[in-house]
Amino acid sequence: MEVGDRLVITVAQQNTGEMSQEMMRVKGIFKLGMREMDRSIALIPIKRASAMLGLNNGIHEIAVNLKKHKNSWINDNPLWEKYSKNGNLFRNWVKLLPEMEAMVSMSGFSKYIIGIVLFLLVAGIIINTLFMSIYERMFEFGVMRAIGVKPLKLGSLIVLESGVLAIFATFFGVVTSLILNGILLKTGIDYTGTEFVSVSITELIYPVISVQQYTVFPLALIIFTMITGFYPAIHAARITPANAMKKGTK
Amino acid sequence: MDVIKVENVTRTYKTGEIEVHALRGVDLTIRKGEFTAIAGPSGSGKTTLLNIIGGLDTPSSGDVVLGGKLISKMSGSELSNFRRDHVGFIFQSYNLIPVLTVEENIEFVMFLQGVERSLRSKKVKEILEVIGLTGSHDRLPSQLSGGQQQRVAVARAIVSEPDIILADEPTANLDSVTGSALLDMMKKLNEEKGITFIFSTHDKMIMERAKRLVKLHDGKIQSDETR
Repeated sequence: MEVGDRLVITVAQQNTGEMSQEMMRVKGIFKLGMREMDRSIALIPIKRASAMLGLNNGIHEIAVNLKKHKNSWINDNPLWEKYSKNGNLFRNWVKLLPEMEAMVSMSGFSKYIIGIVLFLLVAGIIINTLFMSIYERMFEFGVMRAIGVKPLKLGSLIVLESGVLAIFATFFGVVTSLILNGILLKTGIDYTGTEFVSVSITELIYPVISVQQYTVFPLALIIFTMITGFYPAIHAARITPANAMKKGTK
Repeated sequence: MDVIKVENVTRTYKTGEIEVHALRGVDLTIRKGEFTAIAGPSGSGKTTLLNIIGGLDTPSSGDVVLGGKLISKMSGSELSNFRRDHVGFIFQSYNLIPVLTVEENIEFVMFLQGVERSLRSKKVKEILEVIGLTGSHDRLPSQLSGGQQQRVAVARAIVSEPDIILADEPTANLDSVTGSALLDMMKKLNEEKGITFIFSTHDKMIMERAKRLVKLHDGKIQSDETR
């Protein structure tokens, strides 16, 4: 289909259910990025739509913006039934746009997968950093082991060191994030004029800060870093002092 | 009294496909208070033998009895404790911990032994006087000359008064005057405190002053002579 083509629109009238048809000319084509949406949505002038549907200046849909957006996710919210009277049907967006809900869920799952990949990447970087730091000081560790430092003590030292590094890094990350989010909370992120799953973004997007972000995640990161520190710690504790001193002097 | 007993010890290193036999069945007994030099050309196995005696390396076969205990039967932790309490090491390239000051390097072993801070400080002061480095306690090893670093290494080895001191080419990086002074100091410790000294060396000065000279060649004992 191209601009200028003719298109016959068929709808069922609101009151009688009778079919109503009208031929229209294509003035423009939207590409929403989803084939299903592109093939099933047509935008027509509201007056002609009203006439075709037999609404006589009436309205067929009211969009309600809830203050607490989380309430719109609840399928059995009593609000839906309360206003579903006199032939009206009140539904949340989850029921009305199941593909949108699927998209959001998929996006959540993607975030989870990205989170795991990022964590693995971070683990690799931490192990690599700790190994580099150990190899740089292999000679010192060899001397320490030679003069009587126990393998367990040396291992604990490295795990503790990774913990201290994690605490400093987390502190730096949390402070940076608070500053950035503080700025974005004031300015917002401007995505206006773009569409996502046929929904136009008309307002600024503001970050949502949860306590979990600044408690559970940083704590998990510190523990996770200390756990990843075990591998290099075991390696350093196991190496014989003679080998460690040789490697250190190379 | 035997303090070290090395029984048919071998040590083989693998570098890729090539096997290097550093020690080929060494038997050696060291008695308390001996001032022994293990001599031989480079690659004869002197350092390897010293490392194995001190538990810094493990033999491929054979046994090492240290202070009446089989090294192979000791756990890593027991071996560390043994080294901490009974063995002092002096290395060819000093092996001081570069990030620690002279005082911290010297007191490190005592710190591991749990010696009180005041006693540690007192002992460090005394030993710094003995080695002629009073006033250098807060300097880093990099701020010292080779001779001074080796004196600190000697101080670290003797400050906790171990039973045995293992010295790997201790005079190799020193001029003859400094080397001789250090050797005098170690000889004095051997005679006055009865500390057992074992040197790995090819320095004639050490060989001449040693009470016992063990010569190694290609990983085997060639001669063992007591004077």
